[in-house]
Amino acid sequence: MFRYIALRLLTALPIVAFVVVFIFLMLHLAPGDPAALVAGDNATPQQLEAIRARLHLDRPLASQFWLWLVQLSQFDLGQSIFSNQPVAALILKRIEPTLMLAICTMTITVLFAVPLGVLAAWRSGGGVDRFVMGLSVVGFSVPVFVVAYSLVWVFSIKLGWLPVQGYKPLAEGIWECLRGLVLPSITLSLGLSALVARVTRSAMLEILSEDYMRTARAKGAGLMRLLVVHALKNAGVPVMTVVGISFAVLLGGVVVTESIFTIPGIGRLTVDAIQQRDYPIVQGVMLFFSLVLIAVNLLVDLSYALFDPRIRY
Amino acid sequence: MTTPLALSAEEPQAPALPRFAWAHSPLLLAGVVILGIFVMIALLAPFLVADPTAINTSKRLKPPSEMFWFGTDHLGRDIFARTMVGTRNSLLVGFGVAISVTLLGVTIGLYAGFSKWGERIFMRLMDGLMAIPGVLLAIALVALLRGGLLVVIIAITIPEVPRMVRLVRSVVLTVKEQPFVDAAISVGSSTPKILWLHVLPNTIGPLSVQATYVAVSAIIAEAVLSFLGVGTPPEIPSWGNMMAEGRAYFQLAPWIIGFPGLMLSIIALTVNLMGDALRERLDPRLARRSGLK
Amino acid sequence: MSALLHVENLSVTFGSADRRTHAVSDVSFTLEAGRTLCLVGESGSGKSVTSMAVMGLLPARGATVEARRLAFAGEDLRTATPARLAQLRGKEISMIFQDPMSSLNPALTIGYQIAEAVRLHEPVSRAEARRRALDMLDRMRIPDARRRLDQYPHQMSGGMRQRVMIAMALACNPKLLIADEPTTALDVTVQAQILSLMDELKRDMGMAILLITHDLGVVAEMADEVAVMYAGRIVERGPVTAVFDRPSHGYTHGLLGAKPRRSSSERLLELPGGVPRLDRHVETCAFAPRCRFAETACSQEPVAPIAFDAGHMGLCRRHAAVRAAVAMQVDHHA
Repeated sequence: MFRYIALRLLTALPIVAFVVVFIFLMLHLAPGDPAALVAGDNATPQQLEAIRARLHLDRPLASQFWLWLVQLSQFDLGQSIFSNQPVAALILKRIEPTLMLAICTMTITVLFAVPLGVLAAWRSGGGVDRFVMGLSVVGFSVPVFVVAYSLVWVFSIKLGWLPVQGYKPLAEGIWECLRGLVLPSITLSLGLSALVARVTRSAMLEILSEDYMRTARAKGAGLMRLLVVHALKNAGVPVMTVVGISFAVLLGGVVVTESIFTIPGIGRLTVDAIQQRDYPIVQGVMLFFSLVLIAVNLLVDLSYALFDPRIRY
Repeated sequence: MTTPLALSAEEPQAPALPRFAWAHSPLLLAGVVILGIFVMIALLAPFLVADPTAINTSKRLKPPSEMFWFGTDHLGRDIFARTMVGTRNSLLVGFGVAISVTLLGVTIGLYAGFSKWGERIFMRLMDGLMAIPGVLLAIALVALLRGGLLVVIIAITIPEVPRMVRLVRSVVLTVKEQPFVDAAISVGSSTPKILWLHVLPNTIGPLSVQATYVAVSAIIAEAVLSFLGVGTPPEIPSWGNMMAEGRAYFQLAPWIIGFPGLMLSIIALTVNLMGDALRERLDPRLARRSGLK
Repeated sequence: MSALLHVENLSVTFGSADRRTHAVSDVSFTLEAGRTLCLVGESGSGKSVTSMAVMGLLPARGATVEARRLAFAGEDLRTATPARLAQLRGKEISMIFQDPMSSLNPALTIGYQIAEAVRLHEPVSRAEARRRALDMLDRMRIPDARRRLDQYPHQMSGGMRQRVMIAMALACNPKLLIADEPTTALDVTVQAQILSLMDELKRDMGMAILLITHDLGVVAEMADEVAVMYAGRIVERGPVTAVFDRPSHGYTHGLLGAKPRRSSSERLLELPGGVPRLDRHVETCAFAPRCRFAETACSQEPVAPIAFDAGHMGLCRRHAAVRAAVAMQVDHHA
C-alpha cells in the first residue's frame, strides 16, 4: 500500500509542477507591468519600486522562477504584501472556519442525500425519485447567493432563529460555532445533495438489478437489510468519489458563501487578497488547494478498499 | 458503387442532432420559447424600459409598486429597468463562453484525440488546469487582466475548457475504433477529412448538451464574479452587480437582490432543463450516468 | 399424502395491458417431500419465471401472478404477507441460482453471507451462526473451511462459489430447494460433483428439489419426475422413466432426439425454428409450426390436457403418432 501511495504521489508531481509554473507565469502573462498590476492604479513610483524589489520583479524571469522554487522548497509561500505576515500562517489561520463549514456541509449532505438516492432507486419512477430529479435540476440551477439570501430572509430575518452572518470559533463553544454554520451549510448542501443523491441513485439502480440482490431476497432478508447491508456497501465506491471531490471543492472554493455569511475562511482570504492585489496570497491559496485536491483524491482512492474487497493496494 | 464511406455516412454511431428535435419534446420547446423571450428582452430592453442608470434620490429603497414594478435601489434607480437591461449582459457572457469553450474544446480535443504528442501535452495541461478551483482561477484572471466584458468571458472560459476537451477526446477515441473510420483510412482519406466528415458529426450531440451546461455555469459565474466585485464593471447594470450593491441593504430592501436573483434562477433553470431534454433525446446513456463528471 | 408444493393453473404475465408478455400459462404440478422434479425447456420457456413466482421473487410492479392454487405445505402463498414470505424464504424454501459468479455479494465475506442466512431465521448468536456456517462449508466438502469463512467471493473458483451458494441455501434445513440451472455455469467435472452433493443432501435431509435445467443428462441423473415446458406451458409431465421411454409430445420427442450421444459433440436442443413470441395468449399448440408430427388441426384448434397413464399427462393431440414413431425407432434399433 505504501508503494501505491508513493507511486500516486509521484504521478501527481507533474500536476503540481504545472500548477507551480502556471501560478508563477500568471502574473507575467498578463499584459502590462506586473508591478503595476500588483500595486494598483494609484501607485507612486516609489511604491512600484518597492513591490518590484519585494517580488524580485527586477530580476530576469528565470532567476525569479528559481527564487520562487527555492522559497517553495522551504515551505515558504512568501509574505503578504498588505500585512507582511507569512502567507502560510495566514492560510493556516483560515483553515478552521473553512474546515468546519466543509464538515458540516458534508454531514448534512450525506445524511440527507444518500438515503434519498437509495429510496429514489428503490422506487424508481415514484414520488421520491421525481423529488430527487426535481431537486437536482433546482440544485444545479439556483445560484448559491439566491439560496443563501432566501434562507437568511426566512430563518434569520423573519423567524429570527439563527444569526444572519458571522462565525464563532470553536474555542468559544461548539454549539455557538455550529449555530452560525447551519445556514451556510444548508446553502452549500443543496447543490451538493442534488449531485450526491443522483450518483447514489444511479449506482443503486444498477446494484438493485444484480443477481446477488435476488440471492439476498431469496434468503429472506428484509427491505432495510437489502438496501443498507447488501446494496449500499456496493455503492460505496461511486458515492465516496463524489463525496470526496465535493469535500475538496468545499475546502478550496466556497468564495460566495463565506463572503455572504462573513465567515473568515480561505475563500474570504482569497477574495480579499484579490481585491487588495495581494498576489503572494493568491498564489499560496491556489497551490494549497491543488495539494488538497491531490491529497483528497488519493484518500478517496484508498477508501475504495473499504467498500470493495477486490481492490487491494 | 458502394464505398465504405457512403455506407458509413448513413450509419453514424452516435446520433447526430436530429432536425427539429424540439418539436417532439415539450420540455425542449418550452425551454426554447423562454430562452427566446430572454433574448428578446436582451435585445429590446434598452428601448422599452426607463433609463436604468437614472438616479433619483427622493425615491430611494422603495418597495415594488405600480410605478416601480421591482422597486428601487439605494440610489433610487429602477430595479425593473436594471434587471431587464442586465439580461443582455448575462446572455452575452453565457453565449460567449459557451461558444468559445466549444471552439477551444473541439480544436484541442480533436488534436489530442488524434495526435500522440497532442495527447501528451494537452491532456497533462488540462489535468493541471483542473487542479485549480474554477472560481478562484476566474477571479484571479479577472483581477489580473482587468477590463470589461471580454475579460470576464475569457476568465470564465479558461477553467471550463478542460472538461470540454475531455468530452471531445473521449468521443474521438470511441469513434476512432469504429469500422467506418478504419475504412476511411484504408481508402486513403486524409486525417483532416476524416475528422471533418466522420468524427466531428459524432461529437455534435454530446457537445451541444455540454455547451448548454457550460452556458448555465458561465451565467452563474459572471454573477458570482460581479457579486464579489471583480466581474462586470459597476457602471454596467448586471445581475451580479445589482446583487452586490443590494447586499448592504438586504434587510431593508430584499427586492434589490431578490429580482435579479430570481431572473438568474429562471434562466439557469431554463437552460439546464433544455440541456436535460437534449441529452435525453440524443443519448439515453448519458442521461443515466448523469451527475458525476 | 398431501403435496409439499402444490401449483395449479399458475399464469405469469409481464407488462401493461397493451404490451403483455405471457411468460407462464396454466402451469400445474405438485411436488412431494423427498422428491425431485425437473423443469426442462429451452431458455425463455418460462422455467425460471415459474420458480421465481413460487418464491414470490418477481417484481411486484410489472409482473402479474395468477393461480388457482399456489400452496406450500398447505399454506397459501398467494395471500401470504410480504413479511411471511420473507420468513419462508431461506428458512422453508431456499433457492440457488445459475451464475455463482454474480449471485454472491462481492462486498461481503462468505462467512457473513452464510451466517446471515441463519441469523435471519433463527435467534442464534453471532458466534453460533458462524459455527453453523463453518459446519455447512465442511458439509459441502470445502477444504480449509475456517480460512474460507473470511474470504470474499472473488477469491474463490466458480465451483467453490456454487458450493457456498448451496451451503447458504441449506443453512436452515429447508423443506424445498429450488435450483435454477445450478450447474450450467460450471465445468463438467465440477457439475457432476455439485449434482451428487445435492442428491446426497436431499437424501440426508429429506427435502424436495425443484430443479430447473435444459440439460437432459442432468434430468436423467437427478429427477424423479419431469415437466417439459414450452412457450410458457407444461407440454408434458410425468415420472422420468415414463417421459423418457414413452415421450408423448412432439416437443419432448424432438428434445430427446436432439439429446447428444456420449461420443458426439452435437449441441443440445437442435430443433428447427425458434421459440415463439409470447405477446399473445394462444390456446392452440405453440409448438405446431416446428413440429414434424403436426397436422392442420394442431395450429387451429385448442389443445386440452390428456392423461396417458399413471401421473403421465401431456398437451398433444398427435400423442399417438409420437408414441408410434418412438416405438418404431426402438424397434429399428433393436
